[in-house]
Amino acid sequence: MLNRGVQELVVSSFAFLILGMFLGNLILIVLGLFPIVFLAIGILVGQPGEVEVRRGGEDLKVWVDGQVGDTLTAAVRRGVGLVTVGDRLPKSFRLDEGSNFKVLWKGARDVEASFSYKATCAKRGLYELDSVPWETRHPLQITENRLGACPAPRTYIVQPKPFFVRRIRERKALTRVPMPMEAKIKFGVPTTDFLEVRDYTSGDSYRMINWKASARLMSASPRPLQVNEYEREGKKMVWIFLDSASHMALGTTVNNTLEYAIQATLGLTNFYLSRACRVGLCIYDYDAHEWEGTFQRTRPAQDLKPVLASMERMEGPTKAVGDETEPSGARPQPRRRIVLPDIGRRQQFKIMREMLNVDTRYSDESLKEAIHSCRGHIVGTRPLFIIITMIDAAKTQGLVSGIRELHRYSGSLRQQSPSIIVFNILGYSVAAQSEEEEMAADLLEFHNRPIYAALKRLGATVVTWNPRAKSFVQALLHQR
Amino acid sequence: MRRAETYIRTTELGLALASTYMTAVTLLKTSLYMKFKPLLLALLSRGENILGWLRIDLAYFDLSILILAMALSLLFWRRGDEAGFGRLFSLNMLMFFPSVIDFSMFNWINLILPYDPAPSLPLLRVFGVGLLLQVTYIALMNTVRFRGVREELVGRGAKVEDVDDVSKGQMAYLALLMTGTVAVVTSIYYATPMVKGLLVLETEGLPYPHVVIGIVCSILIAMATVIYLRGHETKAGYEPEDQIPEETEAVGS
Repeated sequence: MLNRGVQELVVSSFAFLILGMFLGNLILIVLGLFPIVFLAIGILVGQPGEVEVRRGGEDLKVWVDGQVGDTLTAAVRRGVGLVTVGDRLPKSFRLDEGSNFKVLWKGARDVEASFSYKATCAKRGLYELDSVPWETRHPLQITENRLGACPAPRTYIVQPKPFFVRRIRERKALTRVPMPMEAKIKFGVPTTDFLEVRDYTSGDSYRMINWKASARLMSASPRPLQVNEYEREGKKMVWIFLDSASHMALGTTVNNTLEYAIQATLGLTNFYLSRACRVGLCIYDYDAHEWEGTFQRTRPAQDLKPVLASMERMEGPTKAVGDETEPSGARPQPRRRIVLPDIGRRQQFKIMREMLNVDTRYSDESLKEAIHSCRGHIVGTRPLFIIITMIDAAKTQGLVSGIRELHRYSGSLRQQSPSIIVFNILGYSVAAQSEEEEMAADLLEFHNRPIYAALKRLGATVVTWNPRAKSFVQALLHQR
Repeated sequence: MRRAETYIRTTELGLALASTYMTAVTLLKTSLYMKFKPLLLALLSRGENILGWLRIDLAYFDLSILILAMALSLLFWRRGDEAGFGRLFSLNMLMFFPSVIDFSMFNWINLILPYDPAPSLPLLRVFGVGLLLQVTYIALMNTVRFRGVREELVGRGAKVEDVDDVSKGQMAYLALLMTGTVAVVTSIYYATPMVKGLLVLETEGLPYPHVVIGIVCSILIAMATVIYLRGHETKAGYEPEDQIPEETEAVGS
């Protein structure tokens, strides 16, 4: 499109020419040619066409609030005009020194200019800067601005700072940071605690065969040998369930409930891993319980035709499982975010890497669905469950059903209730900016008190944490 | 920052005052002005009491017009926006037009009232003033844009020294382009009488009046200009906006 200035020039030229024709005036006709000649020469000397941008820095891994820097060199060739080059920084980066934007004038000679900057990374994440955009303009802006981007990849990994819980300095304080009650898992050294009698499988020790039970059962019908199964001893296990629902975004982009929840997750991960526990992580969406459906088969049904081929047909043909059409409106397979339990620094790194990507609505599973997804790793064990969320009196159904689900998979063992901690971050206090808002946040927290009592009745311990008022360690110490 | 901007503003002031002065002086020497001046003086002399109270002497009428034009020019410059400079151009054209009529082949005014043009200024000077008018108009329109670009770049965080360099470069480019255009247009002006004979021979055979031919030619010139400009844009092949990367966000969020 021709811009307004150019259109004005063309119109004025046309007006001069017409007027010159009517008056038979050579001066006006020649003056009418002035804008046209001006535009023609202006376009012949075009705007800069070749822009090349190089980066001088390197990929960096920093902690939140750490500083990154880069130096860019722009080289411009051909044409005349002004060139702007700007390195687009992520929204959460704060420019400290220098500038990430450079404007330069390209005259008759080729131009090369450098600029550098330093920026503070205020939010965790994996930031990939692919290219550096540039813009060239005609000196008089007769033609459209030319936009482009030079490929100049750069990656910044901004790691969240965990709240390290290393040592309790208060002598009088009795640390109540709970540990998992037992360390029984499916694999590991068998203990002397009897679990069950089961069929013999290859690899079982002969010493484990229960001869009496085998003789009794084999006398009735041909059966395999029976072996005694004992509880197995292993590392203590901790499951952390992190809420990524939209209500966790309360606060600013940099300081919000989710950021504190992530820091708490990393702090707890660090604490338990350093005490030789196996730590697993599961991220869920609190709000997803509103649309959670019945649990569906995730893998297609096995083809039983070869097995059934030899069987005589007793009844009429039945509809195969695979032929069943999915009911309309069925929920698509939700995104699962699970880091399976493991030990050591590798696990810490895996959880840290997962934390880089976490944002609101990161997972599609409700708490109940998330627990159901990792039930295979829960059943038969007695881990410590830590649910990190923001309790809201208006909606507790998802949390309650999730805790009941935990009882279902973990509580049946020896009729003992599982160890559950609900780590409640006071999101409204995080978001409060003024004294009045803080008072309102306190009031909302007061409304949550009956919920805490109800959760306690369900066997959960509620730890509330106001990140503005007390540290993470204090929150763990002052738990009820 | 102030220095480069002051330089631009001073250039604007110089161009505005020079063009207004030249057109005003040209106006005062046109035959149309000479014809209407006695009439104007007669009208003004009726209000002699008021003029006497204001201590205005009609002997300085020409000077008053010159001062008034310069004052208006200064006022429009002070506004410093596109609309102000548009009005300045209109004022200059208004004062320039009578001198152009003196050199026109068709005396349209004679149809309304008896008027016989008797140019007292040389043709070349009138053409020179016309060129100055065009240069002023185009230059002022561009300097307004330059100041806008300055503000935009400073707002986007560019260094003031860099912005000054850009402004200086733009001004130099504009001056060069203007010089080139003036040279080309002056060449055309001088070359026209030489090709006039050929053109007359070509157009004499056409069964249309010269005004129709002239309008058709003007339309063709305007269309050709537009096509030329748009064709150049297509050749440039700038990247569409949707291919420009958006602001970088954390991956996975």
